[in-house]
Amino acid sequence: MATSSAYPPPPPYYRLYKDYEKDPSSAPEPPPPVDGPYQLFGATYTTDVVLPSLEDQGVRQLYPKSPDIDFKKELRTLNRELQLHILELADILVERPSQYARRVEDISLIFKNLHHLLNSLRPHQARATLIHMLENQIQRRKQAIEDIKQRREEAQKLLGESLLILDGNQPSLPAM
Amino acid sequence: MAGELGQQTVELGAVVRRAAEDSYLALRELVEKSRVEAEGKNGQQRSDTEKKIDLLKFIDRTRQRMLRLHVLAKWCQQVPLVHYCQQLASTLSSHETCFTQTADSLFFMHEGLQQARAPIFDVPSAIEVLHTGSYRRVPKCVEEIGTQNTLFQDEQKPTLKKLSTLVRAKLLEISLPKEISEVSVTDGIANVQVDGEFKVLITLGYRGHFSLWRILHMELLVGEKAGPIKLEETRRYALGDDIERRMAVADNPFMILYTILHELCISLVMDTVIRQTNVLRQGRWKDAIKSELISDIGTGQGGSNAVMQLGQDGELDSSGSRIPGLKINYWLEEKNNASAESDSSPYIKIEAGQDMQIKCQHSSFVLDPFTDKEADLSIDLSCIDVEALILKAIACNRHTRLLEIQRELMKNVQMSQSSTEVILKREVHGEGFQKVPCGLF
Repeated sequence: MATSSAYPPPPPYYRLYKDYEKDPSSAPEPPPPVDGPYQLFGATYTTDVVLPSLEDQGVRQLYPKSPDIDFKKELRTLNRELQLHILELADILVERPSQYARRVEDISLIFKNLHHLLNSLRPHQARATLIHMLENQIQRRKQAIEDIKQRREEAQKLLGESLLILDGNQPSLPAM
Repeated sequence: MAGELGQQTVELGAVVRRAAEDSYLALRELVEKSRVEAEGKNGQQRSDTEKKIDLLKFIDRTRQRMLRLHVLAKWCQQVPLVHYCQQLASTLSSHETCFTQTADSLFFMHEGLQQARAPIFDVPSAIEVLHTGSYRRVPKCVEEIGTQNTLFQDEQKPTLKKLSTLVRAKLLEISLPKEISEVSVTDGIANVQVDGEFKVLITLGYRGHFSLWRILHMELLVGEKAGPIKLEETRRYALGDDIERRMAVADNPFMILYTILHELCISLVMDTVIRQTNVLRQGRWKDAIKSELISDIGTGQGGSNAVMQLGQDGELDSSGSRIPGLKINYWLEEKNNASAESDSSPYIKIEAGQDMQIKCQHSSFVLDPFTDKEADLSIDLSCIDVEALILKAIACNRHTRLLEIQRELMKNVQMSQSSTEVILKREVHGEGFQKVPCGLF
């Protein structure tokens, strides 16, 4: 792929789609979806969504290592530690300013841990979004069913009233 | 006590000792000189005044030196304080550096965390694509960009009032051509009208500049009995854009506006006249009238007209072309005389003069039966009717010829005259005029 110019011309195979409007079968089938790494506007992306661990990035892990992590508890703990470290940084800047570097490093470490935990929750967020959409659909369908039931009851009531009127007129006919 | 200021340090004791020695040596030199002079060995004798002056110089110099020494001694007592202040300044500078570096570190940490954030999964778009096989949604930002909000009702009135004020002020600054018959400003829009020709709605704000004019709408008032000539939508836009562009660069924008539209109207009038005449020749007035175009291209007069037109419409691109006129002959000669060289049938000339106004000239002098004055043949630009014009010319010509016959009869004294033999009844002509279906009356 030519990336030397800002707006390179399209690849030559666009000519194969000249008659696509009239005859869709004249154009070749689209390629299968890409699996693995691929190039997009000069940058390399990958379809494998893998989040590197903190130790792989050279960052010390502050929360326990276990497959089952209580995200809420760990996030709260880290947040509290972060607040304490910020206050400690303020004290250090007043008392011994030359020792700020260590405190800043500690704050950075806590932030990275927080970020990693939040990034780990992205798949969970996607699933929750899907669940929310499905629940919305279910809610709309239930509402529609309720509306249909209500209309049916109203119709039945009207029919009942009509029948009552018809039955009410029955005795008067022989009298005439 | 050693001072740390400066590059080199000198002990205060040494400074004091050196000052004392210099003073002592200078004094001893002075005393020796006086003693030598007192003995009279060298023969040099100084006056008492000179001795006093030398002594005064010595005393003054020594006093200055001692005074400086005193100041220095006083200052040396504050050296610990100076050291302390220096230490404080150094500490504060160090603290400031730490503060700045701390802020920078926090800022760069924030930047790094921005990069470390994992992208959110686009679940709605994925569901759309997987469910329908295509993607029809447009991002909201595109919709927001495309939507151009209009002012609310309570904001429109003051804005239009301000715009009206601006437009009126602008109209007062510039000079309007005298042919423009009506100018009015309403709701920020100026209505410029030339009776019988055109009407234009303009305002300020050409391409966002409030010193240039924008054309909002144009209407032609030139027309026939069926109504005014309709200016097509696309042609109106193209013409409006062209006029706006010329007005933006012209010193007198309204002259440009009037010149272009006036020439358009005159061209349309002549086109209409020619078309109506052709219809008459091929229809009801077949073999009764004859017409030909008047074009001065081949004559010197045409050249003169071209020069005049070029000077008058210097800004126009089509300055070379000239609007052709039309000559209509009626009361044609009989066929026996058709081959005659000179055509003596009367005619009407309809053409645009040098002043770019439509003029109608009759071949000979004719009187108007209603006014008993010279007939004023003219075309109403709003209701062009060539047939009515010809009929009026014929009526005037007939009336004029009858008057001539009456004058000839009166001159002939040999014939017996009676006051009731020849009577010109104007009522008959009036009836004739009224019967003509024309919008002129």
